Amino acid sequence: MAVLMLVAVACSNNNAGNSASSDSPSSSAPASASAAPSESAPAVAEGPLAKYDPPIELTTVRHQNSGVKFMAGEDWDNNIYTRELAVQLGIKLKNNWVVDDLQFPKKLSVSMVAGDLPDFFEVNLQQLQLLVDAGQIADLTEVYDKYASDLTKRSIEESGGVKKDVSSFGGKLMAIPLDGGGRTDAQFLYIRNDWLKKVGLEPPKNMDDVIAIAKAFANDDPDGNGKKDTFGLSLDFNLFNGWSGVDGFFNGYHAYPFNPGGPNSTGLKLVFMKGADGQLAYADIQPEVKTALGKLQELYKAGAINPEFGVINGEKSAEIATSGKVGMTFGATFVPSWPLNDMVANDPNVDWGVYPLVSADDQPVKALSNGIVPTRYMVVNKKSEHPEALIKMLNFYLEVNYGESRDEEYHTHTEGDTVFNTFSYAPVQGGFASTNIDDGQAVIKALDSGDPSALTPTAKVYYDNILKYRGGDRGQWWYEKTFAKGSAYDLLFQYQEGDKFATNEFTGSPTDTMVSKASALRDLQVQTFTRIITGESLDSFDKFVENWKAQGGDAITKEVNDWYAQKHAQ
Amino acid sequence: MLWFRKRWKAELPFHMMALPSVVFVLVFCYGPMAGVSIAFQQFVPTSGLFGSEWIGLDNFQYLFSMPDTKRVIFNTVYIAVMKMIAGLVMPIFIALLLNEIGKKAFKRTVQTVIYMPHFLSWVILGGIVIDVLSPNYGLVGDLMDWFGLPRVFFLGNENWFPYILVSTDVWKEFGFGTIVFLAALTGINPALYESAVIDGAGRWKQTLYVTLPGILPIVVLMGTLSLGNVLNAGFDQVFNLYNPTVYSTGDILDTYVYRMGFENLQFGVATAVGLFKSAVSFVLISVSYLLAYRFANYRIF
Amino acid sequence: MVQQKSLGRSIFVGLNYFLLSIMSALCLIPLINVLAVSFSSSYAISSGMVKLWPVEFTLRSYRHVASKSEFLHSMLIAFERVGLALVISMTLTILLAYPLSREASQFRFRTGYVWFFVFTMLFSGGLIPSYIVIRNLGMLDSIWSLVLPGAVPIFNVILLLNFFRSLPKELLEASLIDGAGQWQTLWRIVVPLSVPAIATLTLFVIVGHWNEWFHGLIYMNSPDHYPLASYLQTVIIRRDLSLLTDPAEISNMTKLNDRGLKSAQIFLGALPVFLIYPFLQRFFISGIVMGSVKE
Repeated sequence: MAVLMLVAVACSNNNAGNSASSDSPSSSAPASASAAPSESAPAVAEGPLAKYDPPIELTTVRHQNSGVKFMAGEDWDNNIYTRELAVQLGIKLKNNWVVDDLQFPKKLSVSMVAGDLPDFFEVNLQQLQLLVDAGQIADLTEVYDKYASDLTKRSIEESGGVKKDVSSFGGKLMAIPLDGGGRTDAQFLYIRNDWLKKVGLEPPKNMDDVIAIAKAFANDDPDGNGKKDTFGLSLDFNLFNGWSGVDGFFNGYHAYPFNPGGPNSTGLKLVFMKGADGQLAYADIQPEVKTALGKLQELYKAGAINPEFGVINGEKSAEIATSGKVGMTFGATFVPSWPLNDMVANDPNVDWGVYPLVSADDQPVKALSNGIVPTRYMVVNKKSEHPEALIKMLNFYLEVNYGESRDEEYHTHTEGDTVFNTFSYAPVQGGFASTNIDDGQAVIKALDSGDPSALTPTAKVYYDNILKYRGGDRGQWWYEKTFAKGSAYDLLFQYQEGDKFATNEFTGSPTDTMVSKASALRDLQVQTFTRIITGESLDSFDKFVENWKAQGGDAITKEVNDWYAQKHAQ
Repeated sequence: MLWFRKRWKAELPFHMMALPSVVFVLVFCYGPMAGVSIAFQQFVPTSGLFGSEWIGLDNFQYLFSMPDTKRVIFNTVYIAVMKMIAGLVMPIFIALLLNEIGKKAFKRTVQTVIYMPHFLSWVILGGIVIDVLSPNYGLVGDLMDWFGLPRVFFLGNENWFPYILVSTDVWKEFGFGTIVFLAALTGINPALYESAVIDGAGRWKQTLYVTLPGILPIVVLMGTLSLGNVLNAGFDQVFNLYNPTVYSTGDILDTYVYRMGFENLQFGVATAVGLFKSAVSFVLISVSYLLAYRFANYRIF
Repeated sequence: MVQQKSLGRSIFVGLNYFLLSIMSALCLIPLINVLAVSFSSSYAISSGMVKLWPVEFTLRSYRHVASKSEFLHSMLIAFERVGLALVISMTLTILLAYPLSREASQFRFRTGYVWFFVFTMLFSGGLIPSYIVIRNLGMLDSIWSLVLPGAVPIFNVILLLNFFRSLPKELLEASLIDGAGQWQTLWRIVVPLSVPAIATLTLFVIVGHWNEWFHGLIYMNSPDHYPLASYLQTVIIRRDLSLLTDPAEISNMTKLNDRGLKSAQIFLGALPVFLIYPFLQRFFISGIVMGSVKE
C-alpha cells in the first residue's frame, strides 16, 4: 500500500481546441467511430483501426477495485467497450477471470505457473522482467511500428521517450506502458491556515520556518482545547508516500530518498542520482539524508510527530489528521480530494492551504518526481495469433477519448447523480501525462475570463464545481484546491515552468540483485530511519550506509551504472 | 487361507467406509504434493512445475545462509510455543471456572460471548488492537494512566511485541478453545465425584484428583495436535500488526517468506520453507505420538 | 455434584462470576465497537469519536448494504457452500472415523490408514500445485473447488475417532452379535450415541467454511462467484487510498469504502454464525465426551 502509483493517465481528457486535435492524424482517424460502424471498416486490413473479418476472439484478465460501477445489465463482459470493439474492430473479448486489484498479482502468478496465460494482460515492472527473461511474451516492435496510430505513438513516446525506453529490452518493445510520463507525485506542503493564524505564524519560506510551525502546532495548543494533543507534522509507517510522507521534507534539504515501508511495498523503486563523479549513486545514503533525519528527530523530540507513526498506515494517519489532530503534512496533488475534503466539508472552521516546497538554504528546492517511470504495462502472450490487436485496441481507446471522433460516452456516462467511469471498462487504456495540468491551466483561464466555452468536458466539470464551492458548497472544496489558482496542479505547473523537479536517473527495470535483495534492504532502511527519527543516535545512519553497501547495495549500484553506461552508449 | 479370507470379509466394510475419503485425499492432498519439487528448482513461474532448472538443495542453502533466518526461526518458535502453552492453559482454566457456574443462563451467555472473537478475522481485529493499544488515545493507555503507570507503546516496542502477539491471540481463541474441554468436563462420570466426596475431598481436591485427571487425555490430545504448529506463529495476525521497528522480535517464518519470496516471486525458496516446516512438524508429531503411547499408554489417533 | 457451602466457597463463586463477566466484556468490546461504528455517521467515524455507542445514529450503512446485490448474492453462495460442505464432510468424517476407531486386532490396516491421513495434515504441495489439480479436474470457477479439496477434515476425524473409541464396547459387540453388520452398527448404534460430538464438529465445519476466504479468491474467476468471506475480504481489507491519483476515482472510493459500511457488512457477515451456534451449544451442554474417559 505504500508505493505511490503515479499519474492517473486514463482519468481525464485533454483534447478539444488544443494541440491534441491538430496532431491527430487523419490517417489514424476512423471513418467514424460511433456512427455506421460496420461501414467504417474498409477492406484495408492493415490500418490502425481496420476491422477483423471474420472477427477474432481474444482472452484477457481484469482487475477491479470496489469503486467500479456498471450500468444496469452491464458488466465486464458486456459494456460499451466490449460491444464497440466487437462491432468496429471485429474483436471479441473474453475475460478469463476478474479479481480484486489486490489479489491480481497473486492470481496472475498462479495462472503463469499453471500455463493459463491469456492473449494479453497487465503486469507490473517485476513481472514484466520475469516474462521477458522467460521468453513468454511477444516482441511488439514490428506491430507497433506498423499499426500504432500517431495518437498512440504520441502517447507512448511522450516525455522524451522514457515510457517507451523502460518498456524496451535490448531494443525490442516488449510491452505497452499504461501510465508514467508525468510528475503528479511531486510533493507540496499542506498547512492548516486557521492554525497558522492561531499560533501567529506566516506560511513557511524555508525549512526552519517549517520546523518552527510544526513545533508551534504541537505545543501552542492550536485547536484551543487546552490540551497538548496535537501534532505538527503528519507521518505514518510508509515514510515516503503521496499522503503523509516526508519526501518533500527531505527535498527541502536537497536529499531525494524514496523507499516506502509498509507491508505491501516491494522496495524495488530505488532512486539514483548522478554524483559529482558522474556515477549514479543511491539517493537514500547521501549525507543530506542524514541532515534531514536529524531535523525529523528534532521534531519528534519536540512532540511534533505522532510517536506511533511507525505502526500506523496511511488510512490511520489520515484519520488522525482529519480528526483535527495534525496541522501540516507533505503530500502529492491528490491530498485535497483525499483525505482532506471530507474534513473541510464537515467543518466550516477548517482551512487547509497548499504551499510549494521550501529550501533549507539559498539553493533552490527541487521536488523529487518518479512518476515519469511507468508502473503498469500491457503485454501480449507469445502464443497469441494477433499481437497487433493490442495496438489496435489502444488506437481505438485513444481515438474515441482523445482523437477527433472523441465521444464522452467512452469516458463517463451520467445518470442523474451517478457518474459511471466508462473509460475504466476498456481492456487497454492510455493517455497523456500532462492532461491534468493542462486542464487546470485552462480552468484558471476560464475562471479569470468567466468564459468556460473552450474547456474540455472534464475541465468544465472542474470549473462548475469550483463555482459551486465559491458559492458556498464546501463539499466541492477539493476542486478549488486541486485545479484553481494557487492549487496543487497550479503549483505543479509552476514547478514544471521553473524546472523544479529532481528526477530519478535510473529508469531501467529492476536489476538481478534488486530482485533478490531489495526487500531485505528496504527493511533495513525503514528500520534505521524509523529508529533515528524516534531518537536513536544519528551515527547509526553511517552504519546503515555501510550495511546497505555490504548487503547487496554495492552490487546494485554497479548494475545500475552498467545499465546507465549501456543506455548512453546506444 | 480360509481364516484369512474370513478376516478379509469381516474387514471389508471398514475398507469400504474409508474408500471415499482415501480417494479424496489421494486426489486433493497427495496429488498436489508433486509440487514440492519446486523447492529443488531455480523456479521460473512460467515454465511449469518441472520445467525449471534443478538446483538440488540450493534453495535450502540460500535460506539457511541468510543472516536473518536464524533470528526468524527463533522468533517463530518462541512465539508459537508461548501461544501453544497459553492457548492450552487459558481455555482449560476458563473451562474449569465455567464448570463451577451453577446458573445455566449465565454459563450459556458467557460461553456464547467468549466464542465471538473467534469469528472475526485478523484483518478486522488488527485494526481494533491497534486502536486499543494506542499510547495516544487507546483504552489500555487510559487504564495505565489511571493506575499511575507510564504509557507504553506496545506495538512499536520490540520487547513487548511478542507478548502482545501471544495475548491478543489468546484473547481471540481462548473462548472457542473451551468448547472441547467443557465437553470433556461434562463427560466425567459423576460417580467419581460422589466417591471423592465420601472420601472427604473438598472442592479443590475434587478438582485436583477427579476433574484434572478426567480431562487429561483430551489435554494430551490437544497439546499433541498443536505441536504440529510449532513453526506456525500465525501469519494473518503478525502481518496485520507488525512493522519494521519490531522485526527483530516479531518477524516470523511466514512473514519473512512472504516478503522474501512472494513479493519477488521466489516460489522455490517459499516452497523450501514450507517443506522445512512440514518436516519439523512431522517429526514433532511422530515423537509426541510415540511418547504418549509409550509412557501414558495413550493413543492420540 | 454436592455443594459445600462455606465462606471460601462463596468468595470463590463471587470471584468466579466477576472474572467470567470481565472476560465476556473483553470479548464483546470489539463487536460492540463494530456495531457502534456501523450505526454512526461517516464523519463521526473518521473523527474517531465512536467507541462503544453510535454517534450521530444512522441506518445509512445498512441501507447501502441492502441495496448491494453483491452482498446478498455472495451470502447465498456462502450458504450453498456451507450446505454442501456440511453434508459431504460430515458423511466422510463419520464413515472414516468409525473404521479408524477400531482396534488393530479388528482392523489390521488401521494404523496404515491413520498415518496415510495424518501425513496430509503436515505436508501439502502448496498453492500452485493445488491450483493445477483443481484446474485439471475442470473445477475452476465452480463451487466444488471450495467444497471438495477439504472434504476430509483430518483434525475432525481424529476428534471423532477418539469419541467413538470411548463408547461402551458392550453396546457395539451386542449389536454385532445380534447379526447387524458394521454399516448397521455404525448408523443405528454409534451415530445416535455420538450426536453431541457430531454437533460440535458440525459447528467447526460451518464456521470453517463460512469464514474461509482465500480459496474463493484464487479459484473463482469472477467476483460474482465469491462466497461472502471472499467478498468481504475484498471490501474490508485496508486499502490505502493514496495508491490512487485520479481525483474522481478517489472520491468514489471514499464514499464506498468507509468504515461504517465495512462494519455493517462485518456484522451481517458474522450474524448467521452467531445465530446458529446457540442451537448447537445445546449439545455441548448436554454432554459430550470426546474420547476423554477411559474406564
